[in-house]
Order: sequence, then structure tokens, then C-alpha cells
Amino acid sequence: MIETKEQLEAAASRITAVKAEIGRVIVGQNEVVEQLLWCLLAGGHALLEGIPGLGKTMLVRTIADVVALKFSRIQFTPDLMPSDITGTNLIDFSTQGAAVSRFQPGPLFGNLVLADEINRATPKTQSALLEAMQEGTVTAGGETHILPKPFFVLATQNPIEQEGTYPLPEAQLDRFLLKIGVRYPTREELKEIVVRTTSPVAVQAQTALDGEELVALQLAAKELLVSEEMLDTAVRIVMMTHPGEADAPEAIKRHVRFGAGPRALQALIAISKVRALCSGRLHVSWNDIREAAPPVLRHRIVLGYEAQAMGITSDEMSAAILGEIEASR
Amino acid sequence: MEREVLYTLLNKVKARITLQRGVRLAFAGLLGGSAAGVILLGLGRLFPLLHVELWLLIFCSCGIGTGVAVGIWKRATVREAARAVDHGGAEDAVMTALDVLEGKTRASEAIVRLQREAASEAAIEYVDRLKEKLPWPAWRQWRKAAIGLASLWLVAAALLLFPNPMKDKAQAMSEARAVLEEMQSELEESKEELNEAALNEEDRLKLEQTLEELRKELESLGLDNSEVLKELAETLEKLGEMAEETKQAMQSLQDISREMSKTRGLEELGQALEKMDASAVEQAVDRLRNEMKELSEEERAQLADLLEELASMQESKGAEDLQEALQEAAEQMRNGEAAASAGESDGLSTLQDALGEGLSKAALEQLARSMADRISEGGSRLAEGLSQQGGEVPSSWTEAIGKSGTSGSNSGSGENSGSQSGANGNDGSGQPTGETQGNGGQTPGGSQGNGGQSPGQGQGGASGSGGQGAGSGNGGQGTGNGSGTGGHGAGSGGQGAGLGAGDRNLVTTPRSLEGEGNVEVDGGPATGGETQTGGQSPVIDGTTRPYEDVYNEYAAEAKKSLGRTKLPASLQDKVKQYFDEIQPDR
Repeated sequence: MIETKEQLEAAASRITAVKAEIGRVIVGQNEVVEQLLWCLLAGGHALLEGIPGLGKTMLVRTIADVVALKFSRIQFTPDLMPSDITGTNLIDFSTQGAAVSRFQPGPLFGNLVLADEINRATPKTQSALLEAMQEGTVTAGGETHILPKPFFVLATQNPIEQEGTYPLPEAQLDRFLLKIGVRYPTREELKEIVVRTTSPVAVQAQTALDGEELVALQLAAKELLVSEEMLDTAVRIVMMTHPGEADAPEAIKRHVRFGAGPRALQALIAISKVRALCSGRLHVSWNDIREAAPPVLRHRIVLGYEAQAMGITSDEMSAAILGEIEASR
Repeated sequence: MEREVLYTLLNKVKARITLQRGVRLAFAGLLGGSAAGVILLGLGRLFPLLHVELWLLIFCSCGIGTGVAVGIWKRATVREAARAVDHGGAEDAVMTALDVLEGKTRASEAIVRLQREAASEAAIEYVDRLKEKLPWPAWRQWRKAAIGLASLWLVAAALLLFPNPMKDKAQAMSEARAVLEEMQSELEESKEELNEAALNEEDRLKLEQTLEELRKELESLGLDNSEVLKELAETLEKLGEMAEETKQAMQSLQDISREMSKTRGLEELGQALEKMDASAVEQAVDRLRNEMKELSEEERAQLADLLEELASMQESKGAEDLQEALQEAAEQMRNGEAAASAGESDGLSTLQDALGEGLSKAALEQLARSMADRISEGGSRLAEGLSQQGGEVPSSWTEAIGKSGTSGSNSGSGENSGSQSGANGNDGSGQPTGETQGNGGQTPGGSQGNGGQSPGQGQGGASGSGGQGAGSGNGGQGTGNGSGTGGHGAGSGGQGAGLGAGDRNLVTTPRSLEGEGNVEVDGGPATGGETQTGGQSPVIDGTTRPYEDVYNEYAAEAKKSLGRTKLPASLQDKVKQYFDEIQPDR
């Protein structure tokens, strides 16, 4: 709960400190780090997409170190079964020989779960994540088990190796608050990566935020103000992703099959609030919404076949929408 | 407190936005008004439009006024001011604070307070640098509009400086409109006069119907001057006919009144007739009836003789009713018998009725002439305007005005006579050409206004019974017309007014070879005088002829006239000088 200006500044500086600590380990990828932090502070899950070797797994692991959360990693493979991730009931035999059923929690029972290469698992296993991501619970053997809080799923997927993969269904994708694109490092960043990883001293991230502080920041972010105008703008952005909408940009009408749903609006406002908090503000501004919109809409705009064939991305669609709104302001 | 601070700050921003918007809209209004004004100036060169310069100013003023009014109407709101502050670096803090103040957004007290403080700080910073944050538009932003405005005003100046041929035409149309309105009101006045005049019902209805028809036609024809003139000509003819029909009655009454005024016993009746007072006539007849008993037989016989003489005079004039009435009155006078009672009919009462009828006719004639005068005056102005517009004056109008110009000659007593000339284009002033006694109206009431190279307006005054004279003539493209009013007895000549415009190549000569005025030979006053008979106008009927030919004929006629007229040498010189000045090769 923020009651003074100092508290606000402290919250903002704490977030800055977390970013700085991550930056000690992760070279570059500032945008990815920032968006991952937004996701954490908003209490949502993130899907990281990038080619192999860009440090996705390392990034998630570093975040877990900095935030001092219980980290677990699941490597998704085609033969991975749902019970492999949720956990299963085991029969224990006591010394007297009596059989006792006991639930053995799976790797999902962590605060920060890395679902590596999530698109390699079968839809059945992918679906096992749905309940965990949405409800924060796991049901096994007719019993529902509550996952620890905070609970984050940070999934990764490789966009180029499509053979033997199972693309995530739209419903699953919608559960991810953000889809974060991990870009290729710059020359300077590459050099820095080489220097850091080939030196005898490995840099280890220090804890900068514990679980309680994280929850407190999450609550603080939720208290921030959103003006009527900003709310209208967010609604307009979401509505403009629908090709049937009258004021949708021409590009949307031509290339988009389905637009974003209500979760997109929730995500947009939640992320905007977090961004405002990161900036030391108590209200959401247009800049927050503009910055939050691309990762929020990236996996929620379903492009048509023609657009996909033409190599058009959903980021371009977001840019078209934001451009129109910017012009009308 | 924070709330008031925020609103106070936003009001300052609002005022500046409103001011800038007002100025911008006023400038746009000026631009639009100027464009409309320039278009109007352009149209004023194609169509006859009045007061285009004034309209240019009105359009510009209206444009500015509209801009300012719209600026005030669409004045900035607090939210617009808040948005401006937000765009100026406050990152939507002020809008959010306003939402909270207006209850649109809710949050914890602490958050709201902190956020409002932040918004106020941002607003204070913005207002401190208001001129920098909300600057007036840079030159490059309004350069195009300024150049456009300057161009429009240059075009407007050029259009205003170069003479506009349509301006005179528009002026003439406006004057025509004014004339028509004036005529309408005069017609209404005439109708009122008609109601007050001592006319019998039949005459009143006839005249009223004529006026009503004219009024309706004037309303329906609008500004079609040519048609209006035709209609006026028709009405003039009708009025002329009415006046002609009743002219004899008027003449008879005058004769009778003159004779009676000279005779003892009938003076009162004669004077009443001279005054044209019907009630005085009635009183005079009653008194005569009463006095008749006291008169000797010899005196009654004298009066009866006079009445019989007057009755016989009426025979030649075709006034049978009056003749019979006078005869009956003469018999009663001779017999000395009066009616037994006041209500009983006798010879004198018959005479009273006949004289009343005559007075009605005389009043009708006067009214008809008065109305004809008004119509011809207005019509002349219309014709003048029409000719200025380049239109052709209908021939029916020139004929009608010519006829009406001569119609008054009969009533003049003709102590002096003369013809008058209309305007001559050359010097614009008419000269009386006849001052001799005797004949009036030999020449047309209005003589021809000669067209000349220079337009002129002239007034010709002549003594004599030239009577009401009006004439018109076309000289080349010019039109001259003259009008005059005849006098009774004093015989003042008509005013001749001519307005000519055109060149000397071709002139139009009058249609009539001679005037239609009643030729009257008058003995003139007792002091004697010289009888003059008018000659024929040296022109050919209604044709357009070379100026040289017309000039030669007129000059020859003038020379001939000078040779046979005993005019002072100075006047003869003036005539010669005049013809020298208007000779074709000069």
C-alpha cells in the first residue's frame, strides 16, 4: 500500500534494482527483461519466443534468483505426460505393511516454473497447464491441490523448428499475459556475452526482492489510477483488433481473422499499471498503454493465411492500431 | 484546496486556448469573407449588383464576427485544457486527477491525494511556461493562409479600382425599383384622392378600376421596365381618353361660369361654378330661386335670355342635358314660378343637377390629368433608366407620352402660347421658342430631344397654352424625353426635359410629324398680341436617320424661321451659335 511519495519512489527504485541485478547476468535484452518483470509484477504468465541459444532459459533462471522464488524447470517433450508436470498419487507401504496413498507434487509446484519448449509437448500435456495457469490449482486423483503463491509460468518456444511440435491452442495462448519476443543480440552484446561466459568467474545474481515484497508491489500496482480516457483508449485498441469493427484500420480488416478478447483488455490495463509504477507514477498514461499493447496483443491477434504467407506479423497490426490512435489524439 | 488550485491553473490554460482558437477562427472567417466578397465583386462585373463594395466589407466583417462567435461558442473546456497540459509533459496526470475529482475514477485516499499533487505540480510547471508551451502559430504554419488573404485583397483592390460597367446599370435598376415603389404609393394616394373627390359613382368606379388594374400589373411585372412602360402607356391612354371625354363638360362649365359671373343675379352661381364647389352651387341655386320672386319681370327676362343664350351655346358642344336644363331654368325664370315645396322638381333644380353632373365630369378630368401627370413623370424616369441600361424604350410609351403631352392644351386659356423644346443633347438646356400670344399647342407638347454626343438634360419653359407637354425622342442610343404641365390661363409651358446619350451618326426622329395638341386660336389678352401658327416639324416620321441629314433640315428650318420672325439680334445670334456648335463636322 503506497501512502507517501517516498513509498512510491521506493517501489520504483526497488524495481529498478531488480532490473539492474538481472542486467548483471543477462547481457542486453533490456526490453525482454522489462517485459518479464511487468509480467511478474502483474501476476501473469509469459511466453517467450525466440530461436535457441538466446538465453531464454538463463533469463528465467536469473529472475528466479533475483526474486528469490522457488524455481522449477520442465523440459517439454512429446512423451511428457500431464502427471509428469502436475504430480501423481503414490502408494506408500508403512512398516506394518499398510498401503497409504500420497500425492507427490510435480514440478508445477514451484513459484517460478520454466516450461521450456512448451510447444514440444502434446496438447494433452499442454492442457494440464491450463488449470494451473488460470486457477492456480492442480487436480490429481480427484483431489485439488493449491499451487504456491506467487505462481508464474514462464514458457519458451522455438519459432523455427516446427517439426514434431504442437502449436499452442488459442485458449492456451490467451492465458499468457504477454508474449515476449527474444531478439538476437547486437554485436556489442555478443561480445559481452562471450567475455562473461568464457571468463573463469561466473557472475551470480543476488536476491533483490523476496516473495512478500513482490506480492506487495503487485498490490500497489493494482491500486494505481486509470482515467476514463485511458480506459476508453484501451478498449478502443482491443476493439480495433477486430476486423469487423467499423473504425478498425484497413490492415486489420484485410489481414486479421480474429481479434483480441476481454483478457487482452485486462492484460493491457494490468501491464500499463505496472509500467506506471515502474515509472514512479500513480496513474496510467498513454505511453504506458502504447508500450504495453504490442506484447499483450502479439499472441491474441490471429492473422489470416494470406497475411501469414506474406510474412505480416501481429506486431505490424498493433503498430497500425496504435498509429491511428496516436494520430487522433 | 488542491481541487481549486488545479481548476485555477486549468482556467488559465483554457483562456489561452480559447483566445488562440478565436483568433484562428476569426482569421479563417476573414479569409472566407474576403473570398466571398471577391467572388461578389467578380459577379458584380457580370451582373448588375448594387453596393458590392459595401457587401465586401460586410462579408469580411461577418466572417470575422462568425469566427469570433464560433470561437466563443466552441471555447475550450477544462478537459481540453487538461489534455493540453497532459500533452505538454504531464503524461495524463491532469486528466486522471480531473476524473477522480468528477468521481469517474475511484481509488484509495492516499493514492488520490498523491496523484492530485503530482497533477498540480505538472499544471503549475505548464502554466509557468504557458507562452512557451502554447505558443502562437509560427509564420510557416499560417504563411499560406496569409498569402491567400493578401492575394484576395489584391484581387479585390484591382476589381475596385478598375471601372465597373455594370455599376451604372445596377444603379439604374435600383432607381427603377425606387420609381416603381414610389409609383405604387402614388397610386394608393390617387385612390384616396379619388375617394375624396366629388365624383359620381360611375366615374369613380371607372377611374378606380383603371388604377387598380395598373397597381396589379405593376406588382406582377416586377422590374421588367419595358413591360411596365407598356402598361403605363396603356393606362395613360385610358386616362387621356377619360379626360378627353369629360373635357367638353369642363369647357362648358367654364364658359357658363364666365358668363354668369358677368351677369347680375347669377354672379354667385357663376362664382360657385368657377370654384367648382357643388354645395356652393346648390346654395346659389336656392338663393336664386328665392330671389326670383322679388325680381321684376324685366330682370327675370334678362336672366332668362342669358340662360337661353347659354343653352344655345351648348348645342354646338353636344351637351344636350345641360342645354335642356338651362332651357328649363330659363323658362322658369321667365315665368317666375318657383317650386311649391323644397323637394319638388323645377327648372332650377334640373339646372342644379346638370351643373352637378358637369362638376363631377370636371373633377374627373382634373383627377385623370393629375394621375396621368404622376404616371408620366414616373414613367419618364423609368424610361430614362431603361435607356441607361441599354434597353429599348417601348414605342407605345413614347407614343403615349406624346399624346398625354398634348392633352392639356385645350384647357389653357391661351393668353400666351408657345411651344417648348425638350432638351438638346448638346447643352442640356431647353429654350423657350415661343412667347407669342394666341395659339397654343401647335407643336407637340413635348418636342424632340435631340440626341447628341454629350448627354444632356434640359428643361424648356414656354409661356402659353402649350399645356401639359411631354415628348420623347431617341437620339442614336440616347433618349430624350420631356414633360410639361400646362397652365390654365396663365399658360405656363411644359417642362421639357431631354436626356441624350449616344453619337451623332444616327438619330431617331419623332414618329409624329406634328403635334396632336388641340390647336387653339386665341385672341390673347386685351393688350393685343401676335398670332402665331405652328409649322410642321421638319422631320420624317419615326425613323433612324443620319445625323447630318437631320441637322441640315433643322438648320434650314431654323434659318427660315429666323428670317420671318422678329427676334432680337442677340437671340438670333444664340440660335445661330447653337446650330454652329452642333454641326456634324465640328
